[in-house]
Amino acid sequence: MSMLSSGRAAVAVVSLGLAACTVLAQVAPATVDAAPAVVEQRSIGEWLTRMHDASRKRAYTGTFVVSSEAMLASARIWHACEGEQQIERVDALTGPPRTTFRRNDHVVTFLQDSKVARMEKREALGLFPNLLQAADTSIAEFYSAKRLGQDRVAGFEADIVLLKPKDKLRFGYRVWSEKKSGLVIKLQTLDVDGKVLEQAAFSELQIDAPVRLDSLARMMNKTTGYRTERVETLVADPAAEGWALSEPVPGFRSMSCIKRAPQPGMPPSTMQWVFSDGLASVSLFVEPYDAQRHLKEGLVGMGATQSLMRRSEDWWLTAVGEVPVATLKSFAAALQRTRK
Amino acid sequence: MQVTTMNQDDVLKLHERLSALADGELDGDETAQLMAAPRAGRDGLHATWQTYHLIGDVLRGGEQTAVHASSDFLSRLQTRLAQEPPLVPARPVAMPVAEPVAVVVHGREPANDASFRWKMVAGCASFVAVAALAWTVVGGAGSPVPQPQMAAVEAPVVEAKAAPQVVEQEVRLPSGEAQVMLRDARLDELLAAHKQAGSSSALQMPVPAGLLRSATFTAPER
Repeated sequence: MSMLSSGRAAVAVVSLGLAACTVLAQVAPATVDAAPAVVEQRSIGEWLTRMHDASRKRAYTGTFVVSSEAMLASARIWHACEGEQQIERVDALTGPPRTTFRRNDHVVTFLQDSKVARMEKREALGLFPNLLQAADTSIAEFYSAKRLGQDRVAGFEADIVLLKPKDKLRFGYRVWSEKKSGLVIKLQTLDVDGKVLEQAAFSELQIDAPVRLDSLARMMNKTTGYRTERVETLVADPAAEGWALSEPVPGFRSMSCIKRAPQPGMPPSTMQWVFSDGLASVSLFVEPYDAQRHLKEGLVGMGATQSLMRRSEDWWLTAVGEVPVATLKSFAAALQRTRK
Repeated sequence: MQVTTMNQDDVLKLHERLSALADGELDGDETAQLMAAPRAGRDGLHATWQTYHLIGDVLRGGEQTAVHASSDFLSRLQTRLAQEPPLVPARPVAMPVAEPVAVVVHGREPANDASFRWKMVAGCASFVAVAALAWTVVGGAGSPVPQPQMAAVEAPVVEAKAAPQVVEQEVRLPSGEAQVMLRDARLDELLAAHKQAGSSSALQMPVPAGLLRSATFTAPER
């Protein structure tokens, strides 16, 4: 009798389970089908805005690894934000030990071996939204976005988006964007053949981590035991400095131009002129030619970053950017001195 | 058996510092002080350290992270919590210094990687990566740049040498091997400046300029 009733109970449970499964099976595919359709239709602007916002509006901590054929470097990162304030701490895990704090556009770098705390003011981030609004078609003109699928990185589900360049003057990117927040958790830079030049990814990550802005700020201000150095940068006008591009390189617009304040005993200050096409940036460093220091013209490539060094009469140009060498050569050819 | 000479307050303060270290909120000086804590307070400190991490993992990761605590650790933990003096010194004194470094690195793994097996894999993977890097450096160093390069501009950890010269620096890789890498200090500085100012990009992952300073350059110089 007891066996019979338990048998009936078992049958009841099994049939309930089967019923539940069929119901779920009918419901689930519908939701799975609906989501990718929405995701596929995002434009490149939408993808990029989502990624950019996530990096500014979410607190996160994690370990970050940058690797290319010739190098591997990693760092531990904390990021906190409150309203418009952003604060970040990066501890380098490879190379000489150093910790960089960034609070909006103030940066303090603690160099642990030499006990120096370097303070600088960098260009405020957030240029991208302006870029997007000012020239709405600009990025879409030179890149296209396509969702390739999905993958799991550092424990998070992510959409894989391919940002494909429309010409040979820039690199392509494969971006793993976390599904819920849009945070970029892995990024591959691809050269014109589609080969991976460099990969940057979180090996472990915690989004919405309990990182407090005030505790990071406190650590940033603690310079006891360190000698403080201030690096002054001045905004410069390339035209006033006597430089211009004879013809613009397609897609790249002038973003900023700075000069570092000259320091005693150091070579005369270099002008840095920054261009960007929205995803890649190029810096042109121009300084007076010095036969003793400037000995080697040529090209150096490291991961995705290419550099070109060239002498132009009395000036020495170093062009650096995450772009193909051909683009750097175009910049070097177009850069002209407008006054003696 | 060693009689502890620290009073209750000191022990509490030590535990507070330990907790701050576990949360990554302790800066360089305080960490050094903590590491130099008097030996008397070391009893049970390691168990306390593991407890803090376990608490953190469980709070963040949920129940499954609690499973991987070894029974050995649990029994030591119980001993500690009961405030009874340990009958046998649990670990040699040197261990608490070495272990926290390892624990900090692995302490924030997501819940699904809690098993020791995956920690080993991660450890092996990072070792292989380091070995690959060392191999590249040793292999690539076969063609050193012979002539003197740009002047030794003040770069972070450089001993000043007479200009003009290639700046040589010993870099400690995580595996402990010292490798000598030839670097062009001036280009290095410009690269750093480029990375800092190149924030006009939607894809600006938090790649700090300093991250690339430790890298070698590839050979293709034309």
